[in-house]
Amino acid sequence: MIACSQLSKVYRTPDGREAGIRDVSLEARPGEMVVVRGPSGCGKSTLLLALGGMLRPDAGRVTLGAADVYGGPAVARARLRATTVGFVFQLFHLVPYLTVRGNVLAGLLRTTREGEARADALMEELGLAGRRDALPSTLSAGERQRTALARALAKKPSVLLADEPTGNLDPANARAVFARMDQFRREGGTVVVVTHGPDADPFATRTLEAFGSGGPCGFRASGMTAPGTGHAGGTGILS
Amino acid sequence: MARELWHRPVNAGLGALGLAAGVALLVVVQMLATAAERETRRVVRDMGFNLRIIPRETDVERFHELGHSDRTLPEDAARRLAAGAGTFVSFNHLTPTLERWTNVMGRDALVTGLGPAITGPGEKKAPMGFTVAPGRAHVGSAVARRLGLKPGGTLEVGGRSLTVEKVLAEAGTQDDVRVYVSLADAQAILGLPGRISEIRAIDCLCLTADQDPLGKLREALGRLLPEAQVLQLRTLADARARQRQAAERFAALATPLTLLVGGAWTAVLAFLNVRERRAEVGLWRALGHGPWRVLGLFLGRAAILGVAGAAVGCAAGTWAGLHHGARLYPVTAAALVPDVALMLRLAWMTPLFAALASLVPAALAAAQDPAETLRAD
Repeated sequence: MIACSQLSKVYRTPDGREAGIRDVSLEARPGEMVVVRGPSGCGKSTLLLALGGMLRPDAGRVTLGAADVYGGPAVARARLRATTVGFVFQLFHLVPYLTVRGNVLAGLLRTTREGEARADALMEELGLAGRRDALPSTLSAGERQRTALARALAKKPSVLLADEPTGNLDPANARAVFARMDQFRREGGTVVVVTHGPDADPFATRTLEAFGSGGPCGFRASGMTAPGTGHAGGTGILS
Repeated sequence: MARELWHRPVNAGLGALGLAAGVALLVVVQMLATAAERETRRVVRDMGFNLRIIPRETDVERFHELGHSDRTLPEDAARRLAAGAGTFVSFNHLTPTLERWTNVMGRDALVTGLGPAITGPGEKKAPMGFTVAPGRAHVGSAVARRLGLKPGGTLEVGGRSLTVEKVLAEAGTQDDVRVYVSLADAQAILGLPGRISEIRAIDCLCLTADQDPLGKLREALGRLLPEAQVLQLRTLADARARQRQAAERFAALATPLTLLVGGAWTAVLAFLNVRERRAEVGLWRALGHGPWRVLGLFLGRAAILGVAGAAVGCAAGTWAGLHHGARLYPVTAAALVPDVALMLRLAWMTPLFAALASLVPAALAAAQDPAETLRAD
């Protein structure tokens, strides 16, 4: 489970306006896919980075399982990211000089036989087996995002954080990516997706909408769907 | 790391090239400095010794008239001088010598007996000049011509028969009327057992005339060998000192300059590499890899470039040193050889140097905030 309470992180953009999040509370439990939806610049990515232990908030608390994410040193947060949290980014962030397989294995702190077997299985599952030795520059956008997803899953995380994961994909690839995330959720994982489009809606167990403009946004629950989980609802998410 | 280098060939190539150029320059400078010193030593040796240590009571005007001292020192003076060296005076080589004009088969010739050369403490270089084995003689060109002597012939002098080992090339100096024999033979021929008339030396005071080398030498020698006085062939000494000092000045300028330029070049390229890989560094950190891993990525990369630069630089520098050294220093061209010891030192120092030059950019990369990078993207 990943949760935050009264989380605030405000910063100034290069053009001088305030951005970020203010007083956001959220709880995503195993088996849930929480979709955070809002327009660009409303702090969705900031929320995700803070949840993932990469951006210390100005106020509030983030917990991952029993661990207080910002309660320990940076090295402890790095360990949490390495073992528990998988990231998927809109721009894929693949290492350009590594092959598909090398990128998937980059998600592991140490390459073990078990890790390699898991990486190979994930590539097979995501339709990348035939492209395992290809460099990112030769991949389609869909293949790149599937590679990034395989990398995120290779470490067997308990939480998957995805920032606009289908922003650069065609509908078929977008469905394939969300389908694999949905599978992860069904297997007991927790997924938090931030997006500005409706692609994730069919897979969301809960959706939070951003509100406010001209500064840090707040989020509130919108429709509560929980396909196949029997778990409905969530706490109020307010600014 | 190797894949990353291959992926960014321009940065990697320029990095390795800069290091290779620096290494090559160091190798060439070292090779040519050694070659220059060797060439000068050889030339000076061929010109003769630059110090003549003679008995104190020698009349200098008479000395110049005869070309040698008409007085003698005990043979062990050379040993005593050598034993005191390092405390009072330093030298490269000492040769005890006994010289007299004497009748050689009908006419006077300058019989010169050469004792075994004494090498200075810590001096690894081969003794300069030459030695003559007992029973043998090296005969000056005028004497040889007069007597019709050739190598293998026999020379009768002072009641002794000596085998002519070598006929010296015409020098246009007193050497043309000289007969070199061993010191023991000279002492027997001249009836001066256990005596020498001078000690010839090549000093390594390495001071030029304006630094008063002779004054310093006389002061030291006065304490060490009070029964002797010293004459210095200043032109030779100066030439030798100037050459050595010039080589040292050049090396003293070239080495730090090379390190400075090479270090700056490596650091700038490392900065560019870090900047180009901002997103990648952010990703590694986001994936949970620690700062040491990031530091290792950049330092390891620098070390690999250092190994490549050292290999290419040593090869290029050695080739240039051999090629140009042979043209610049033709007399000792055959002695030009690759400096293996220097190359071995550079093989481990260059990667270390490259890593040190890249330390600041690598540390900046390791300290990079992953959130800032990823948010910027």
